[in-house]
Amino acid sequence: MEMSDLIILCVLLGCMATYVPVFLCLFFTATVGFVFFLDMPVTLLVQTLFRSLDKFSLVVVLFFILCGNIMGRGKTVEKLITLANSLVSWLPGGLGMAGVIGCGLFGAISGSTVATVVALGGFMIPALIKNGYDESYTLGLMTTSPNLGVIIPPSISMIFYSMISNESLEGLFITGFIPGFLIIFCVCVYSFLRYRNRTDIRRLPAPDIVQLVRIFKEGFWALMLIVIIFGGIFSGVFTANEAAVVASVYAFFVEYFIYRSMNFKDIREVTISSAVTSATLLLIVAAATCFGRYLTFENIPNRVAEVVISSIQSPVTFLLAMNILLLVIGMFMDIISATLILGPVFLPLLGPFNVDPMHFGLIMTVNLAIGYCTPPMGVSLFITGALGNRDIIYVSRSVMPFLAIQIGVLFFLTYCPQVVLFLPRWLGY
Amino acid sequence: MIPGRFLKKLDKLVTHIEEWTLFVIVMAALISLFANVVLRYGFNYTLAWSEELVRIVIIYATFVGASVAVKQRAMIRIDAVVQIFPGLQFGLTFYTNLLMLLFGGIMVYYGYKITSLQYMTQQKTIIMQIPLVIVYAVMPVTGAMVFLRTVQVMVQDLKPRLGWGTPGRTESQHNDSLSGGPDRPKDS
Repeated sequence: MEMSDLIILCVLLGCMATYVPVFLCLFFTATVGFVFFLDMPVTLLVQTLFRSLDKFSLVVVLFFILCGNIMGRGKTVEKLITLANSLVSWLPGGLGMAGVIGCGLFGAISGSTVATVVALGGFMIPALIKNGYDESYTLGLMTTSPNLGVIIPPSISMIFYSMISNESLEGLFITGFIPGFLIIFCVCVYSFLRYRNRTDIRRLPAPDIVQLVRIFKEGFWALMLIVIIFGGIFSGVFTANEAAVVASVYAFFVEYFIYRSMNFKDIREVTISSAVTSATLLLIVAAATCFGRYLTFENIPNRVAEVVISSIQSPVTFLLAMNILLLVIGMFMDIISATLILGPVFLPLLGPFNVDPMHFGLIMTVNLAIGYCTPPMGVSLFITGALGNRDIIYVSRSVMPFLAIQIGVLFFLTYCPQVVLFLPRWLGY
Repeated sequence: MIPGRFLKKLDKLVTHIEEWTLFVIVMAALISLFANVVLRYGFNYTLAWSEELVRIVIIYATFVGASVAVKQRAMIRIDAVVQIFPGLQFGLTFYTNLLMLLFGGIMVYYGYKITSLQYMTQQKTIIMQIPLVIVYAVMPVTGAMVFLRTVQVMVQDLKPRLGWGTPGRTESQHNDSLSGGPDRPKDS
């Protein structure tokens, strides 16, 4: 490691640790590198910042965010929860299952964790507690389940991974399916086992056919949205881009004309706030491109690769090291920044260790998502802590069983790549 | 009082411009892309200009959105240190705002340089024939907006500390933004 690398690393970490917005950390680090070590003009950097936004594929970010925000603001989320609830809440632990399935359904529309925590946690936590579920179970469930938002497609962080790795976005989306279902299934089983013998919890009677028809009729428009996104992408009718656009238009249509839950002012506000959210993400993309330019000029990714390859021999050790590293980084950094910063550094390592880049994209996403609710620093812990009026230690303890499930799934999909890759391969990606 | 009122009006005007720009361009992109999908599957016809339009929209939305994000304090940060030591938040926010001012300055200076280069070469986009100078001009303009918004946020922070203005006023100023409260949790 040369002196300049060390200084750049210190500048980057120093900025990040001191609450500087992530895009500024990257941009200033790149500026320092350009001016002091490369002797190149700042104009070039500003031009890179601008040019990196001149990409058609970025539009998918904006419209998936828009679609998720419309859902959260309107009635669709409520309908999805009602649907999940009436399907499973006659089982022991049913309302908990409804919570995780609701997160999965919402994750199938939105691509973000925090959106899911806020949209679902706000009313699932009181509902669960009111129905007699333990507080610790409730908080643990609602802290960890929103991870499904990034794992189940569409996932914003996968969009960025596909941009830096040139893997097919549709293929990456499809890989998220199996781990998503596995997590939902395991959490449902856990809820069932935990509440199997409890009598103090209110359960609904099992719905009969008439009720089932009514429930589906009620949730029809919300479910159709999922059909559009998934069906469209999987059947190859839509590209991910088109799916995002069609889903946004459809969501506006449903909320405005059918549920009548939005007026023009709401539409305007949702559009603006989505544009701002996507701007904060795209700024990071632009600044990460600048930073990446510096890394490439200094040939840093290849030098890192050399060091890692000479010290780690087997792919298994490599993947394990990645798992742990990403878990720790995920605690501090949000998924998108981490993907954009680390992706270019890790990608050259995949070839020598014979890891499929699509598989690695999934590992990275799931891993960073889990880091998000890993004690002691995961961000989701603080959010649910605030929602449920509990301190971080209590929340940390309550997430343990759920975290164990998710980490179990993570290890399973890390070391059994065939299981996650067969679906996209079969569909031809 | 007069400069105060003037600044408030300016703030309102800029907010108006920011919000309507974002709304109109995002809607334009949405509608043109949707029309494109319909035309492609229904009539086997593509709008050649929609891709170009969308690319310009993304550039505009990102830079204008940056200015709004400064005002709404919605920038994505790593807040581990602030979570552990809440007392540091004020100082760190002040210091990051200084860096943000620097960034705004860089955008104005170098953005202007790049834009004036485009002005000299008189290039236009391929399909819609929009002069590139209009596309590039968003950089210095929003750079200035980022600068102003950062100053505004810094003043909001400093006011209660220095005992300017009536206490409690700053609270309502934060909340007039769209997606609400200061320091939204970082999104993913």
